Amino acid sequence: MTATTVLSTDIHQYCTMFVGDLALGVEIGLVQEIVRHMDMTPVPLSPPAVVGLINLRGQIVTAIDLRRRLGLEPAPEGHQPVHVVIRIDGRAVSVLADRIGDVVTTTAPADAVPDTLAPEVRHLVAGVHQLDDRLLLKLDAAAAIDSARLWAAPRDEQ
Amino acid sequence: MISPRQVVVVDDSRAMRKLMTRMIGSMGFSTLEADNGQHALDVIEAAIESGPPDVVMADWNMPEMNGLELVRHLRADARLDGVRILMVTSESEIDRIEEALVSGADEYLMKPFDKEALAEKLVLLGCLGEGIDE
Amino acid sequence: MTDTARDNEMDEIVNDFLIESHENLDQLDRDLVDLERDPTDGERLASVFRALHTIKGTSGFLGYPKLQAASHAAESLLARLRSGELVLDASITSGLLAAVDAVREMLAAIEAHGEEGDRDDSALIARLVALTEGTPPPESGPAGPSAAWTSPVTEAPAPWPASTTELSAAWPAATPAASGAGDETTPAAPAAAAPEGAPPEAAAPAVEVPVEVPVAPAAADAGPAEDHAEHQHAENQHAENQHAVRKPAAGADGAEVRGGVADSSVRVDVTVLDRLVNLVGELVLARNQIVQHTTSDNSSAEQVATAQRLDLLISELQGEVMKTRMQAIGTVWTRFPRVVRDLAVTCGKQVRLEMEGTDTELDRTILEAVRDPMLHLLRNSVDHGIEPADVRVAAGKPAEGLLVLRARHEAGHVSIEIVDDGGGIDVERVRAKAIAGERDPDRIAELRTMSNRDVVDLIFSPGLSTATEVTNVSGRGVGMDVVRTHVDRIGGTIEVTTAAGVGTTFKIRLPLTLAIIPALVVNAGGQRYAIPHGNVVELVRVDAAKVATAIEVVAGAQVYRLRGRLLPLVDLGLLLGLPSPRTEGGPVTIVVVHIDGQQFGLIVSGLSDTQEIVVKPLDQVAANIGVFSGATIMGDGGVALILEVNGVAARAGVLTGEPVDDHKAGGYQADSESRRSLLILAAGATHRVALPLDDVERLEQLSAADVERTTNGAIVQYRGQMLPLVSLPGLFGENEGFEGMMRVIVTTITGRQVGLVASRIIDIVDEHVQVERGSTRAGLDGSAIIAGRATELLDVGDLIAAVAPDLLASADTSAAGTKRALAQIGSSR
Repeated sequence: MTATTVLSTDIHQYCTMFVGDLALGVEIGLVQEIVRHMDMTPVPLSPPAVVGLINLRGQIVTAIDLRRRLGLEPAPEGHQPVHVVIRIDGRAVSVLADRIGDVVTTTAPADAVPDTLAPEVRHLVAGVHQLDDRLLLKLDAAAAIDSARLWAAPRDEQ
Repeated sequence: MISPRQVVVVDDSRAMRKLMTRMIGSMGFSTLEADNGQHALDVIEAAIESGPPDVVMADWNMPEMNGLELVRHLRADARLDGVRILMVTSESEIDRIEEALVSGADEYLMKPFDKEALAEKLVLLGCLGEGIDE
Repeated sequence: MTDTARDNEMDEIVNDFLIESHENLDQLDRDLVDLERDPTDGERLASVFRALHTIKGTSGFLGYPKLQAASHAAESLLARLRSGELVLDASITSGLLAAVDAVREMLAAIEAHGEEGDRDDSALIARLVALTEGTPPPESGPAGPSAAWTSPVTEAPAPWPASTTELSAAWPAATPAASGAGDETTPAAPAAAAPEGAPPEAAAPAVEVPVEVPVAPAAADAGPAEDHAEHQHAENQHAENQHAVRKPAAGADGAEVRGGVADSSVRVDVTVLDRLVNLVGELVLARNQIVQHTTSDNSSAEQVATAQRLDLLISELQGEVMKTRMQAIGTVWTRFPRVVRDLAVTCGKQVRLEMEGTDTELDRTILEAVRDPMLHLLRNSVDHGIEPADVRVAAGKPAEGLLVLRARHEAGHVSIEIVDDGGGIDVERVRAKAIAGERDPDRIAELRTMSNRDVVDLIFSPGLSTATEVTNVSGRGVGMDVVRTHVDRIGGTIEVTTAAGVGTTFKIRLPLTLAIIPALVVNAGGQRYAIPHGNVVELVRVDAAKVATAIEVVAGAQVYRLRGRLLPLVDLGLLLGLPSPRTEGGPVTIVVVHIDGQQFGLIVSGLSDTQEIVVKPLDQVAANIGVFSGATIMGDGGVALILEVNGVAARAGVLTGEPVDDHKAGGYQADSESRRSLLILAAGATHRVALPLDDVERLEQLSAADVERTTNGAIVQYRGQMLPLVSLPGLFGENEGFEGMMRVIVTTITGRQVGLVASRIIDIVDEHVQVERGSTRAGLDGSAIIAGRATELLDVGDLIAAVAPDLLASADTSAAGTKRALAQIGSSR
């Protein structure tokens, strides 16, 4: 990709991750870091998608299970998900993905979200990009970690 | 052995000390700093091995030990007989300068002053230019 | 030297000058206010003089003529004070403070734009010269604060208003017209007070108010006295010198303190501290990995020992680094005396500010956030709380009002109180104001019957901010609702208590986010939780053998008998939706905690240890749960949640709404509406009665076979004493129910135990109870709908007086409640 010939506003760079069968992309500017699996402290009485707290170099970060958010089956026993730490408006939250893919750069605008996606997925997807080999779902990161929606999730989205 | 002449700048204001140091440094002096009279005595004491300073430039109004007291202490110490004392004053103290001169200060300079005025006084004190007699 | 290098050097010098001048000015404010109280404090005067002298001297060198001129004028005035030719009074203090403000503004301008700015200080200088000469000012006029309260204040883009507005009507002793101010008062400081809340950069230009300046007595014949004064001056100076030589350590305390701090501390950029904190965090993570690797079998003993030592050192380092973020609250309070003083002068009041707990440490971010709310409340208290001297004297109070700022660590929080001994808030006026501003008839009805406490709380609601009355000091601005918003934003709470004629107390409770607190780490449901030490009263371990008798279940709620009191229990595991920490047939560990003067027990599965923990904020998702105030990182790098005891109590519904200390003052009479835990009992087939759980000492099952009938009624042997029994069904004309195993509620009235016999224990509820007055039966305080059923509220004292007056006759009848009860009985018979 030759960034020099394209207006920067037209470039979408995504950090890709896989959750179940889905390939999701988070705008790279929102990703603070990616951390391999670490022990989590459960938070009693929290919304079900909140799986625990991690100690990220002294900062307490809440981890959210994307599988649950997206209405997918729990990960197979023994699988250790990866923490994708997203920072929006100074708030850092980790979303758990099965594994991480490459950084994808595209100049194409995002397409509308197809109706064929499950409603739980549609709620959290802001657009799609048709890549060569697969469909990349642009994760609406703000919605995925939104506190009010997490609390509402058991009724509305799951 | 030729070593640069040394001036001890005594003032409780850090900004003032820097200003003085800058002026004096540009005339080829080396400087020591102290933030009050007592501290100046300590600084001089610590450096006495390598010889007393040439000039002590003392502000008048400082906490703990003011300039006038410093003059008296300096003049009470025989080892420091050759040290020239330049009092730095402002209008509010100018009417008391006689007191400092009687106590042993050599010259005084009224704030604010520029580099030329300071150089003049240092010449008067025999520490600068043609007047150097060592 | 290149020009650039020279410029850099000059910039550095100017920067040094600004920093040290700001320090000097803060000290100056305090010193001047103190000096006004004690004008004879020569050391302090010398310190004030020196501060201005230094600013003047340096500004001359740096080429700031206006700054030099203003500070020179102030210095000359101070020289006269120092020599004893003049004596400091309110007008001189105001003049000096105005000069300090002008200097501060110029410094701010220099900081922002590199120059003093386009300004005219001639009025200020003329005023200072007039004060110095001891002559009336060149232009004297009737201009009071109202005149001064013009454009500069409104133009200042202050994030905070000059003062409060909305409730001036609610304080009975509202600010008088400034023209009626005390005779020696110089209402010259409004401009100074106004931009206080604004950052110095935003400060409005000073307004110089021509004022009537009383001629200082000592300067009345200044001219002829010149020589004499000069002589005196020399003598003073001499004495001062001798003093300094003799006792060098006992100089002016302001200067001494600063000297001491300078010796033992260094200036560190806050960003450096933040970076340090992060780095230490990373170090902890690496440490954890090393510790993990070295515990495996292939490590040598030395490696393990080294890892352990590293472990300890890094934990210690982490704690120390976190402490660097802590700042004493006194650093923020520095300028408050000045603010209060100026405002008091403007309002024509006499106010003394006392500060307690200035060394209470808070994380600096919280400290910053709470500064403006505190300032606002202070202004509020001076403006609206404290009455003018004549009103105070007429009310039998000292002419001088007292304002107390008090900070302390308290139950895992920092509490800050702003207490005034003023007129208090007129609850009915607040109520009237709230009703006047309301259209909704339901709401109006609600307001009419609302408890006083809730009405007072309305001052924090935005609805009351639309002021109809505007005092001179207040101007128009935002009000207490903004204070609450700010406090809320940092996770704090604010409450107000007031008593007519006695005063008003605002209490701000702040979380210790980022602070370091001692905490008890407990286990429950397989996890660790930290309980702030401030909440922990004691630890109780109930042996397995005693569990069955010591812990009982009353209407589904567990209670523990702790030294004769029933302590509500909360099973921490169950509360959190985790397995219960209790094991069948095992001992039970109870952490007795308190919040707001009430106690309850937390059942945990084990105690880890007590340690200093660094409180970290929780993300909003977790914070919303309401039972965790934060989280902390344990020595092994794991995370433990910190319990918010208040939230735990609320979730478990164990708060009785009444402090343990004075539970005997209970009953329902405090308010028509009250919230507390009530024990609901069945009295016969249809009646329900309730009594405050706090009045309940024990719940017993006693055999009716042991009841003895005497002329004074039924009694039963209980713990070696005779326990008089009162049948609750009997109250309603039903069968007494002295049969089989009786449910007996043991309560104490005026030092005597009494057993209430109930048919059944139904429940313990914790809810707002709306009391309907007017019960006709003796012993009942009224009725309420509880859990959907009409329930009679028991007044134990009243009840005993009615059915067993002899019991009380022998006891101390001084308790007000009892007297009232007796009187009531007398009239109802």
